[in-house]
Amino acid sequence: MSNPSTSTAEAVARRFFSDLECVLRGEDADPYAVMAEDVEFIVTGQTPLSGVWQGMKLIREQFLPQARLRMGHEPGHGLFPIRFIAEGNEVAVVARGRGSSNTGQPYNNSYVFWFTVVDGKVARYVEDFDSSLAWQAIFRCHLEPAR
Amino acid sequence: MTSTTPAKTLIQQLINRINRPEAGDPYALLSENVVVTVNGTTPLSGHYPGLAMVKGILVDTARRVLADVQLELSKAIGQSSTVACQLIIHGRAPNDRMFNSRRDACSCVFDVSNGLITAIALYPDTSAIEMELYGRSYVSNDQ
Repeated sequence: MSNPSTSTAEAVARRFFSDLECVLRGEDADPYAVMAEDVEFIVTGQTPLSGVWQGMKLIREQFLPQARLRMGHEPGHGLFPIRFIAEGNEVAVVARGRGSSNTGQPYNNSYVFWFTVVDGKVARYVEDFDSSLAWQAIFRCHLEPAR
Repeated sequence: MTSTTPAKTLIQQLINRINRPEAGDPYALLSENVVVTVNGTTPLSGHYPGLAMVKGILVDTARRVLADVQLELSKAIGQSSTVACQLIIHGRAPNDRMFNSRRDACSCVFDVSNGLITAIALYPDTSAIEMELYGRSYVSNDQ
């Protein structure tokens, strides 16, 4: 049986994805409204957009503008959650993405997002994904034997 | 605080057996029809249905580039037969350096049925696999 904190945490994670979908449809919504002002925001891997951002101010001023600059914006793009696995104040969300780079290169990645919810807000967010695909599609790189 | 469930106990047993072969056969904890998926497009990535394919392709291929592999379970959530984990995977790369010396965790989702693991979906740091295990680097297409 699910406890109240589990259902609250899952509802917050679901709201993030539904608000994101609204934005991509052109509606007025802010998926990042579920984040606490001091959220720890982690993008895994070793890409130029990987790292740890502390707080929504840095996310809005640094991470999101850099990410938007790299991404294409076309109808049908989005993040599509497949599974929500929740316990206590934590939720893991398995998702697929459909997107493109700013040059039109397809960028359809697979993700696990982790949300830690405290007092109804996301205190910690982790985005786990195929960072090698990001290097190649978003950062226009290819693989070569290292010298 | 997360709970202890039969599924989580089974996953911890699998990790113990991978880390210490004398603890038992890790394959005995997997269903004959287990499906293992490694996210991405690395040489290790793919969909491996059935124990024979997991052993014969995935594990054998991984052994060629990763020795002394050790797994640490840093988080496990899920109150049912599906458990999402954060795993730290590290080992020795072909150049004798440590793979994942940063000890970054990656996501892994397990499904359990009738006391056996039936599915494992691993989301590793694919750029670390390419760079540290296969000795490749990312070079700009403009160069």
